[in-house]
Amino acid sequence: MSTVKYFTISSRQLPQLLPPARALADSLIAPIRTLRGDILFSPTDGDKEVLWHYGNSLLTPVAYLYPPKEVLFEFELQEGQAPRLRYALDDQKRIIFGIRPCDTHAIAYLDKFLMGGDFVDNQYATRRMHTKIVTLACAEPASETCWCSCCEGGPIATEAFDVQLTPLGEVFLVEVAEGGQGIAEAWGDLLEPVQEGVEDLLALREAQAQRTKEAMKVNAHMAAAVRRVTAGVVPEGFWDDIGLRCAGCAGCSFVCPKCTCFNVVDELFAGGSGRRVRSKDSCRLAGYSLEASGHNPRPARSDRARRWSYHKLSYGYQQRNQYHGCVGCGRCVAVCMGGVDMPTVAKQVREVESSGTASAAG
Amino acid sequence: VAVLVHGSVVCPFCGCGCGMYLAEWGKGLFRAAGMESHPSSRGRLCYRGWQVGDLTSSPLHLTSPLVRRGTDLIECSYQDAIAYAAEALQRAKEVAEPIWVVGAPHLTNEEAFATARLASEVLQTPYKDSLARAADEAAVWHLQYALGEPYRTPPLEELGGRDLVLVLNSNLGTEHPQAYAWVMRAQQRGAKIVVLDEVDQGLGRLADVYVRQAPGWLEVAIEMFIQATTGLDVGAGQGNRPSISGAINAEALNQAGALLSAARAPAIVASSASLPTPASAAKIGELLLALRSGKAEDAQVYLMRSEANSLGVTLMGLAPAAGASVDLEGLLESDRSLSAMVVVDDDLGRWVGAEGLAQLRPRLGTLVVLSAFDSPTVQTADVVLPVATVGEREGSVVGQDGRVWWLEAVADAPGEARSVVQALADLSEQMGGEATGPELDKVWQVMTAEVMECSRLDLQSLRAGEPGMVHHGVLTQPTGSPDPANQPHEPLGRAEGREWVLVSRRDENSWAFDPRMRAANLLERDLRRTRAPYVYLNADDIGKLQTRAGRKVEVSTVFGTAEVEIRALEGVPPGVVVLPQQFADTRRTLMGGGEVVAPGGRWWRPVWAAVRASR
Repeated sequence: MSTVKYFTISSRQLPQLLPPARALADSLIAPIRTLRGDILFSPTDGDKEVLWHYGNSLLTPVAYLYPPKEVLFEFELQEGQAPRLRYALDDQKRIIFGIRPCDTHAIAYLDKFLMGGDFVDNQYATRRMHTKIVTLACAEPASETCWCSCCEGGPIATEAFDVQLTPLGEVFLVEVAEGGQGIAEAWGDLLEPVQEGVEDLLALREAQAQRTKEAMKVNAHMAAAVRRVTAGVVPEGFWDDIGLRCAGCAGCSFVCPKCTCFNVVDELFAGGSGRRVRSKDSCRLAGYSLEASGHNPRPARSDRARRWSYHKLSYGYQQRNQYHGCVGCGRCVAVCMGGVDMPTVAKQVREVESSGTASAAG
Repeated sequence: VAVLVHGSVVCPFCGCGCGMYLAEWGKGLFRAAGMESHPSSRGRLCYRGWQVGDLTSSPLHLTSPLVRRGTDLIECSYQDAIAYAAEALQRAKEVAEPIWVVGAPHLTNEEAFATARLASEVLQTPYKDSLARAADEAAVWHLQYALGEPYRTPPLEELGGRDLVLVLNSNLGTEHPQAYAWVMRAQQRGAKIVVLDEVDQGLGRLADVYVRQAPGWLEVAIEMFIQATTGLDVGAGQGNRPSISGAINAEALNQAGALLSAARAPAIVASSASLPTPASAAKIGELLLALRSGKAEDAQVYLMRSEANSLGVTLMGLAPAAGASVDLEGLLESDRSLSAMVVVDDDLGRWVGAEGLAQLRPRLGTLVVLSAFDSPTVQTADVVLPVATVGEREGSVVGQDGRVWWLEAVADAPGEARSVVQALADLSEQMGGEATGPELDKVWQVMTAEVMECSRLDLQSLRAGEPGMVHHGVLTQPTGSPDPANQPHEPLGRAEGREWVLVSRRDENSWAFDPRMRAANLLERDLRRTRAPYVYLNADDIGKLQTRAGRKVEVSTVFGTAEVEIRALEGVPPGVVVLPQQFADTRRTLMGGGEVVAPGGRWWRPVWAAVRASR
């Protein structure tokens, strides 16, 4: 990602960034607080309700690019005729505003996974093409469950954003990438160009990022866990214990901004019409790997826990995708019933005694 | 993609009452997300909870009223269906046999209140009930009887701060995942976990002490815990009795008793639907009193309700009047008939099995069903009125701890489906009565005026997202006396050749027959293959039968014989066969119609069984 320009803006002026940004898009999606006090990313027109200081949302805003449920196409069936298919790609212009670096990092991964291979996911690609990302870097851990320091997921985004705002005391550093030039132009005089001293500001930001990393309460040393999994020294019995504690809810997958597994069903309506719907799925669920013959290669929760964890921890996946399988957002820590979330597993993988009968990665 | 709606609802499944948001990701495409601000769920949901959004605007939603013409159910207009139902119910009122009105335990308070009013004011029948009572209320009442005061489950989040958790006969991980989550958090903070169970479905292996008792011996084991809290060496004092020494692991019991005696803030956790008898609920109450009289003044019982709004629907009057009983198994055993039955958003097949329903059907008279989804009950109805489901209706629910939450509507009910309150109001009006009226706010006014426990609730606050709290009133008491059993419920029907003990328990597929599950595509995929009856044995026992998991065995008891698939489960003790509770028809074949009949419910005692591999 080539950064083209740096600016600053006073923190008091931040709300003024919203109307010009909104004018550029069909919808502006930003963190707001619900009546009950939860943080959700939602399309919004109310500048006052947008949050500038917030803990991360449990529902990842990445879902606006890769939704948990979406229509792939609609169809009409008429006897004696070929099915008529109607694709409706979502080309609404969006700006996702205030997204955290961990989620931005997840978008970088999804860009590669869903658009960078032999097959392009048209739904994702179309949305991605029409979406601008305005990242809000973290000046402190966004929540008690954050552990991006171990996963290279933050607290500063390094790619996939169009604009990144970093709080530095009374001012925000505005980092404009190539894709964000239109937004920067729309903000016009609100932004103060940084003519000199960029290095000083970046050093300040780096020092702040370091302090943020040190302040994180969850520390699991992902890289060490990856090494042990890849070396195949994690004993089989380790996963039995993880499987025993796992409640099988699959919440870890449903909140993970990097999990991409999905299921597809055809919904039929009266009169021969219908639609093919894709919904987020999880390899933690028994039916995910169930084969048509009735055989299930991963019948036990421990098998599925290992599979899921290896997908996050194996160096093989890292090599293929160039990213850790985890961004360290900590959402799985919040939702795990059994307390066997990603950082806990990574930490235990690091600490468990090696076994001669190691489980192979993959 | 356009998430424009974020509505908050409460999960309509088990008694945990988890809060969640429903977000719409495209026309009619809803998905649930955890609600971090909810005090007891904190953003966590179980595998059912994550799929709740699939119910809202589901393509499997019933959208058109149906009436029976011969063997067929045919679509008709809403007005015609109401007129037909009203006319049939009016006729039913004029004959001697009673009319029963049964509501789902997941109805909102307003829906339950309207259902109760329809029964008492329009149909004028004392036979009104929700199946929550069979599942939960009887156990709660027996616990109250022992405590001598009204009981309400404490807030689940307080479980996380306990220093010891005693889990009795319950598979929390799948029955009440939110309780399981708090138990796991308590353990992370240093709490000791003790599990007392005839079958270890996982938690026993995670516990500090696992005490296994033989099937039927739970009450005796709890009694020994009571003695342990007073410092008795239960192993020496009672374990030498031959009948006890083989039935309860006295060494483990002593270890557990020592932990329990030392605990300052212990919690006893049990799922009401997994308790083998009402006496066990009463025994839990006695244990609580014993703990409180010792070091643990702050000891608490967390009796987990198995259904979403089971406390609420009972408070709203969906309970039989004195002298009346709505006992489906009892009806099945008898030769009694009804003149009509109204079923509101539930499936009788879920409770008595599809075969049980087929046997019952000729004696139910006119069957009027309000339902959001197709089910065996819908298929056998005379009139079907489609109604709204979660996310399509507003209303309040009462958590098992007494906190009241408001459910928002994020979508209109599809087609001709109406809210339950609307459909009941239309039916009442057609019959010339005025039960509650169709407007939710008016139902609320009448409900809060009449139900003493709700009198302090404020509708505006609830709608604004604030929880309310119902009064700690005296809960409805079933008529009759509590089960006095203080002895082991020894398995029934011992005979030569029957050397296995068959017990009925809940397992992770216990919701397989809930018609709502079919609307959630991931649940349907995972549960589809669990609807044919199966039993669990441990792997060694399967080997001894010279067969393997996935094959079938023939199980015979004093009640009958059934052929079922076998599955391996590590925590099943040798010589024990576990039949999941949801196979109501197989349970009736092998274990009868519930041998322990106590006020408000039925319990299935363990039975001796012969098991052999099918040829």
